[in-house]
Amino acid sequence: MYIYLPIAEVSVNLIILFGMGGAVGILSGMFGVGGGFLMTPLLIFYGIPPIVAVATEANQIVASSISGVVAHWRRRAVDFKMGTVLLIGGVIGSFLGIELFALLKNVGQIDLMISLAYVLLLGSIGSLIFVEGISAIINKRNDKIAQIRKRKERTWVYSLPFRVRFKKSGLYISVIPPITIGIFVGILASIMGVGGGFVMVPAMIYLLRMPTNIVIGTSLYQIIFVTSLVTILHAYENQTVDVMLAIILMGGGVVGAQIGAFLGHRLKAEQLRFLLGVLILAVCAKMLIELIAKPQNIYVIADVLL
Amino acid sequence: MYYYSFIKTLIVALFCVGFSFTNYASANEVEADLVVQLDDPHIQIGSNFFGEELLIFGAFNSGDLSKSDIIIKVRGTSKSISVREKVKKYGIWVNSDDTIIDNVPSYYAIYSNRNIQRITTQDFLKENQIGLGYLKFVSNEKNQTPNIYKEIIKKNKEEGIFIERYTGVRIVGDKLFRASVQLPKDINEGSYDVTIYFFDDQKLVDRDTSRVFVNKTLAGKYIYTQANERPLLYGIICVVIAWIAGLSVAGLSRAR
Repeated sequence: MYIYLPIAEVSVNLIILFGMGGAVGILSGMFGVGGGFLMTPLLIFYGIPPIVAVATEANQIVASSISGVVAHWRRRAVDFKMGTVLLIGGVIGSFLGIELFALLKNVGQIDLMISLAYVLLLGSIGSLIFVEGISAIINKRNDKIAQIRKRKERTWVYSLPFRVRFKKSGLYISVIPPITIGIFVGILASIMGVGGGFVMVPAMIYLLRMPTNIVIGTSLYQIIFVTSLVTILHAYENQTVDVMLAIILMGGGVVGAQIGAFLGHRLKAEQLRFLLGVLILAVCAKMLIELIAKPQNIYVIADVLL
Repeated sequence: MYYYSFIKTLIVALFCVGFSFTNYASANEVEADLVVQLDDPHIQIGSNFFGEELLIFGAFNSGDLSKSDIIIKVRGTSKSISVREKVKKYGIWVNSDDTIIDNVPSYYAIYSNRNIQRITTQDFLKENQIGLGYLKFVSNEKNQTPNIYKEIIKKNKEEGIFIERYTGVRIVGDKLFRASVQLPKDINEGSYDVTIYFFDDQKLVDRDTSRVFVNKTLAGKYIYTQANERPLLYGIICVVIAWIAGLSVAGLSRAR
């Protein structure tokens, strides 16, 4: 069953796309990750133009993050003040990212930039998760309890100016680190079509020392607004948001996330992390091969848009 | 689907029979040497578009059948394309600066009853841009263009956008021909010029030009137009859809 995507201008198999949305949905349900960093590469592998994949995936993340944040909000596990500070950075980052995107698009290097960014990001995140997953499994075998790092340790982050009190997180810190994190995540969102939770969450825990239980809710809250903005900016600047594709992915994602949440309870956390690490590294490897291996077509041919 | 194509073939057959009768009836006073009929001059790219075939059929007035030839040329609107060569830099393949090539057809098909080189002279083929080898591209840069031209033709051939089929025209009886031209799934919107050349003993006897229009159907076209003409509103609507989808999923999971 084929469907013509009006913006991507390709005919795609509806069942395969829905399945891809579902598969990534399952993973995000299982691992509690947004899934944008897997979905965008998959779309590119499938033949969707990278610039459309990035913009449309941002649109899908809006939906999946909203459905996710509601549960956290009900448990009062969202620090709105911290989220808003992160969001201010996110807005700045989105505008910067879109400008960079347009610049690279004009010189014809945007596809390369997207691939490079993915290889770097997936490579580093994947290796971290993979190593952590393995060591957790080994530790468990040896009956060792994983050592918990001291959380209240003070870092250089606490010596910066413009300190603000965040009641919910129990912090009194400078706004510079959260804004910087926000900017970085905003740039990632606009160039890569990801929510950026996998960068933001560790940064919030290890850098800002936020309590773990409110970290995910707060990051989702920021992601909703950043990806909403990124979607609008891409639609406005580049006309690359394919609403038809987004709706298919949202549909698949919803179904998948329910299955994933169910499966997630049945597998052990360490095994999950190990699996996720393997998966991310596999996608990274495929992207890397495409960059290094001699391309099938030496010439890149594209329409000139007037 | 099969039923539909059966009906289509039947209509074509009837048409052909009709043509032949009229030709028999007025064997000597036929004024036109070539009569052409297109099956469907308006083609819609729907959301389930997966390629289409354009049926072309007609009759010609031949003196000696063994020396009669038909060439069909279908050409989409010309466009400009940018070509970048990939070069290895720091171990990875990056794009070099682009070369702009103009006058590249968005679709180009040659269907004939035998090798076009044997049908007529090279000069004629060149002049009328008949055959992939005779397409006239225009470029601002001179160096390396033959390679680039070759590459453009190769890529478009692979995608079914450029077609050259020397057995694509079937001559039925002694004055009828029929061809089914393949339009690929990723075809561009626009008007397509269909030219049919009728040769007798290597000389052009008659030619017929008609036009086919390819349009996106309402839904796809509507989305495309909105995205390009009201990009801000379109973006906001995309986000609103996502919000509604997200909130309703959250609502559903709460209900359980």
